[in-house]
Amino acid sequence: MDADGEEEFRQFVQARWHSLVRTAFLLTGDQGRAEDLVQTVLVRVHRRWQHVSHSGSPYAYTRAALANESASWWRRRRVAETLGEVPAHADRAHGDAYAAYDTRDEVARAVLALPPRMRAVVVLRYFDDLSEADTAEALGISTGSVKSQASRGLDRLRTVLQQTQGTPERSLS
Amino acid sequence: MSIETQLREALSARADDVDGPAFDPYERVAGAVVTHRRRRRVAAVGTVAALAAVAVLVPSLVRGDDHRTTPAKHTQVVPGPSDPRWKSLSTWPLRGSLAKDTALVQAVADRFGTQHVLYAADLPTSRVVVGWDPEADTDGKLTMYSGPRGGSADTLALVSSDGGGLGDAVTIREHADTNSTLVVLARPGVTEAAVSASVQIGTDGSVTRDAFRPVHLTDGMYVGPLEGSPATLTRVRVGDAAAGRVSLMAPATEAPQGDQGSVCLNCKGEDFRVKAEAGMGAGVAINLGLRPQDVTTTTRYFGVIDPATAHRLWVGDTDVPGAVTRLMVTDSTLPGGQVLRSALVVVTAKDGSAASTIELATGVPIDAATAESHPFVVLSSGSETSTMSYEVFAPGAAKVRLVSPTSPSIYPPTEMLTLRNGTALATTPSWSDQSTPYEVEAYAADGSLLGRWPVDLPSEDVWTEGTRP
Repeated sequence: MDADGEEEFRQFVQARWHSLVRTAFLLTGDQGRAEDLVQTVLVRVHRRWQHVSHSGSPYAYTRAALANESASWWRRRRVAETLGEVPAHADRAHGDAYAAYDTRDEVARAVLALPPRMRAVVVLRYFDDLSEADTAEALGISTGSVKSQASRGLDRLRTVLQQTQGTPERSLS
Repeated sequence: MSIETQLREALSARADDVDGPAFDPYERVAGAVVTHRRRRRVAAVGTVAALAAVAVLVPSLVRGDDHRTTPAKHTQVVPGPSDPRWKSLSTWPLRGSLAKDTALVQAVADRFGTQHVLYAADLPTSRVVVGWDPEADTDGKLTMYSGPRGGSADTLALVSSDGGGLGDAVTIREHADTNSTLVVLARPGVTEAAVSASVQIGTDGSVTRDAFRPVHLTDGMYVGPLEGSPATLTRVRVGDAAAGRVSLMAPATEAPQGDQGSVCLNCKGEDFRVKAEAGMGAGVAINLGLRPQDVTTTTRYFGVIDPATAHRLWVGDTDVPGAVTRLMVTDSTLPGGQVLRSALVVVTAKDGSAASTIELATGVPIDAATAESHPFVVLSSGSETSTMSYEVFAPGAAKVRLVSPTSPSIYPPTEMLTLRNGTALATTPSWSDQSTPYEVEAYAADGSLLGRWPVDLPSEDVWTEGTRP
């Protein structure tokens, strides 16, 4: 890579690092792992920077690579570190003043309990606000798969909300 | 508050827990780049040695296969198809005409992070590489990369992915075109498979699957042309297993131009309907390997869904203030007179802040003779867990009711419902079986019975299987 390209890459990393780590944090559940994941992806992006920088949106490219990498990366990490179980929901007394906070926290935890590909779909759709088509393109799957993965993910999260809020609802048969 | 809104808030709040970097991120990445280069040099040597060892053990598994498989030149012992070592796709050998190209395979693995490359070949019009990776809580993931023939790893792009069950056959279409190369990968030692190219759709809505023709596998692989076979309708059977869909395929090269096959979410009113009708018709044509101009599509219903039904469908931002949920039902007529029904739910907010769609049906064959009066029913769980709710859209009908022809004493008919603006709402007790015991009867204004139809259209997975000839 020439000096101009390296400088562009430096500015890109410094401008986008935090945003990428936020997305990676939702995919991995741990800031240290998120930073490692972003670093891994940016090393690959660096190798292809000449191409990526002319692709229209280096950030979109990198975010897509991040989401794709998270699944296999997560698998390798889990094998190596034997993470504990993520609780479905925390114990909480009725009328707790932190109920709203707890609900959000438990929803976020429930996202982490989703299978990696489903989790990536949910994060890209509802955190990064990508359209179904853009999510499909980012993950290399069909829009139909995005719809079904998102729907199944929402179903699981709905169950968590029912448990925390006590509001019975049924999904479509 | 909708589940989507709660999810967005939860994810945003969670992400706010991330602290800003206490270091220069570029310095960190630049250091990792240097380390990674060193590791790659070492790893490349190790990988070449490992691949060479495998090639010595099973020489025929790394020979070429430009278009078709050919018998192995040397006699060697390949473990049988039931050998436990083939139970996981992670143990399958690398096959294809480029299996010997270790530099390419390594470059693909490096670029995409694929742990296990299953197939690499130059097919008639493109270079194809397929990888498999384990994935937590799933059977693993198959990924297909495609690019120009003879291109480097950098010219390949991820084009398709699918779940990869343990020991499954992997089927690949070079493109999602009606005429495109088929690749079948099975456990080494499997010698027979069978391919059914398509289905025949009758004007009465019946679907008959084409006969399965046998193909011979060499070292568990078949590569050959497949013509007159829309990729979504192709079925491959390996051994005694049930016939499966194509696992992986690159996008069609004969895809329609412009916005055919898509829906214009920014359009409104009649403009939206016209474009959606064309898009839904084009989608049916593409699925069947036809040209969009060969299919005639008619809108049977386009109107607002009851807000309570829309809310229960969880189709998107139905709770956004001012959001309107509409249903569009179309029938597409093929050149032979067959009719296929599609249905789309669209949620739009007046201020443009939300727009989403969900397809309830995509080209499901129905009886052409009664298509004009064939109702469409949106089914959802009722406001109480013991009930089910139906919104019936019945073109040309004045009244409808739900009946259970098989169990009328357990599931008594609903009262006769008068349609308003083409729709009526009904509620029944929920049921224990997988499918609803109810059917819908539609009546004309003079009280005559127009017909009786199942509440549900068969899903795509069901109707595309077809019945055996």
